[in-house]
Amino acid sequence: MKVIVPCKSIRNPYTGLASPFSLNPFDEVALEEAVAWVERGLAKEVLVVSIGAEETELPIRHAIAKGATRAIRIDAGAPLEPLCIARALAAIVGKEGGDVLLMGKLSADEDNGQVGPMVAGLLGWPQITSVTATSVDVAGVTVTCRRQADGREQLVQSCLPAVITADIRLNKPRPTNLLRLTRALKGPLEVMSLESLGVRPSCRSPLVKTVARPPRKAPERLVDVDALFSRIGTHLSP
Amino acid sequence: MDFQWNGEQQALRESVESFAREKLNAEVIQRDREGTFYRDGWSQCAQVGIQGLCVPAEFGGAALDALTVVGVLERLGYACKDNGLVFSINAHMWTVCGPLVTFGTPEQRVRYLPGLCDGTLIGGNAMSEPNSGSDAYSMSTVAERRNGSYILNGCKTYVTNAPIADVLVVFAVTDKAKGANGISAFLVETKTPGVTVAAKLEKMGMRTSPMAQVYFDRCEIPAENRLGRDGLGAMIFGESMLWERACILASAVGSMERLLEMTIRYARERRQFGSPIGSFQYVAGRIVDMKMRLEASRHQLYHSAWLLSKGRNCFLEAAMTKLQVSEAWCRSCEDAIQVHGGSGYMVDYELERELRDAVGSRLYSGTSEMQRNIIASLLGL
Repeated sequence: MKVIVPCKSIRNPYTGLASPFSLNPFDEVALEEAVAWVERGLAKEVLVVSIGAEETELPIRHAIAKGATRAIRIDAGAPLEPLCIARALAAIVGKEGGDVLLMGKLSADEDNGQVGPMVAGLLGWPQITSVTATSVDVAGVTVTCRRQADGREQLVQSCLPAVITADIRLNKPRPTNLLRLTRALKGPLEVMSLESLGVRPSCRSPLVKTVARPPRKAPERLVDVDALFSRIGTHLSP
Repeated sequence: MDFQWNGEQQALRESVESFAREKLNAEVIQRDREGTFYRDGWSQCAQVGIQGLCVPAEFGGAALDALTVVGVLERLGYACKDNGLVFSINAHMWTVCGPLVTFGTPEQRVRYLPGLCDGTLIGGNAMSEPNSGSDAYSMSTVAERRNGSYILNGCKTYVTNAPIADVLVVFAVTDKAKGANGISAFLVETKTPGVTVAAKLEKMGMRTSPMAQVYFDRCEIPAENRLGRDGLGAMIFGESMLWERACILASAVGSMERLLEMTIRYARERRQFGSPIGSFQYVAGRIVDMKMRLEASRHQLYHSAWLLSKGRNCFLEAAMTKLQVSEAWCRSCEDAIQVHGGSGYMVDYELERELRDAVGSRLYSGTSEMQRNIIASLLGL
């Protein structure tokens, strides 16, 4: 079974680091699951696909160090809209084959959560979203997933090929091993262009405006406990 | 001279920093209070490959050069507040993995190094005795050759990792008449009959790194567990001390940087008499001293590690690094506490623990006085 894991490099929240990018944590969870499938003999190959400029390569190499068999970076300088990303991933599946597209349910920086369902639609594959546990049958014919919906838990089964999007609770990703990282840093990384995949950057819903969040109000110092109760009381009174 | 980390070194440093920040800092105050070793943290560090940083890849190590290793350990110390865990890892690396790589037989390396790298085995070093500390070679533990074995008798103290260790590098006298040249080293598994690990010693700092006395009573060690040839113990110990002095305080340099950043932040935010306390010259002066000590320590550390990477003699520089960084770490902890005032004295601010952890660095791997002796003798005094 071949598993394709799309991984997004997102801006690192720790500004002190020289590398400004890290793996989207939802994709990291998806990658961990795919690598665990290989270790359990359920899958043979994990192909990581990432879309971005050259400066986003370090997290992709971390993905290789964490156990991906191969990695492809689709070169793109500017951010792409979700449909365009989905088309590129569908094109990769067309080119590479694959039995499962296992990916994060959303990216921690944009929160769109659109790419998984879109690529399933483009491929005509069934999809199971927000998955918290997986079970692949030995023959690799079906996958059964647990997903948590509002106030209940569901077990959903699908034939393969399928798109599965990972919830952050799916597993705890392993840390990057330094020896594997040194090898991954020196190893090959395939680069493709969007054009070679027959995908043209599009923008159906252009970003009109970005407004910075207003700064937080300074905390107020209350003079004593009575003042605190008085303030809480105004919120708690029926 | 190139003072810049290359891309690979930078990636390794940042990878370890991110890992340590996310995985190693939960409940450090509680672990310190209870003196609990963080076994899960140990295993996670092994997954990353920290224990095997210097070990060849064929045994599961990362096979990094000394300079890259101290660069990685520096970021570990910066991001991980559990100094005891880092100290246990350092003891394991420099006094067990290192000697095994350099002096171990092929069979010994295959038997122990993979487990020491992957976290399933924990190592410790047994040198000090109740009556021989700085005067290490005056030890009384003896190993008597009998048939195809050695019979070990004696007592070792201040054995870092002893309560959790699977294998110890034990130094013992095999030929008293030869003095330092009559000392040999042995790989002793702690489950061997005749080995007794006594109750854990209560320490001032590094409380999450367990330590104990170890007794050997007619403990039979197969001859193939001798590390290096007979009488090579002093050389093995000297070599491991060289690496330890040069590298063990890399994490302390990272820790000093964390303290400095924390103290600068506090001095900017904390206001007294209508001004941030950092604007008062006595306070600012302490912080400047912290910065000076940090940079002096860092350069000394990098220089020693660079010499080791080049295979050049660094006995002098290793002793200077150990002395410089340990003294600087302690003094910077005191300054950080002083700038934080009463808050710095509180457990929740985690500065008092840092000071307690730092004090030990003036003692282990040779006291500051011993480092001065070494430096003086190498200066021809």
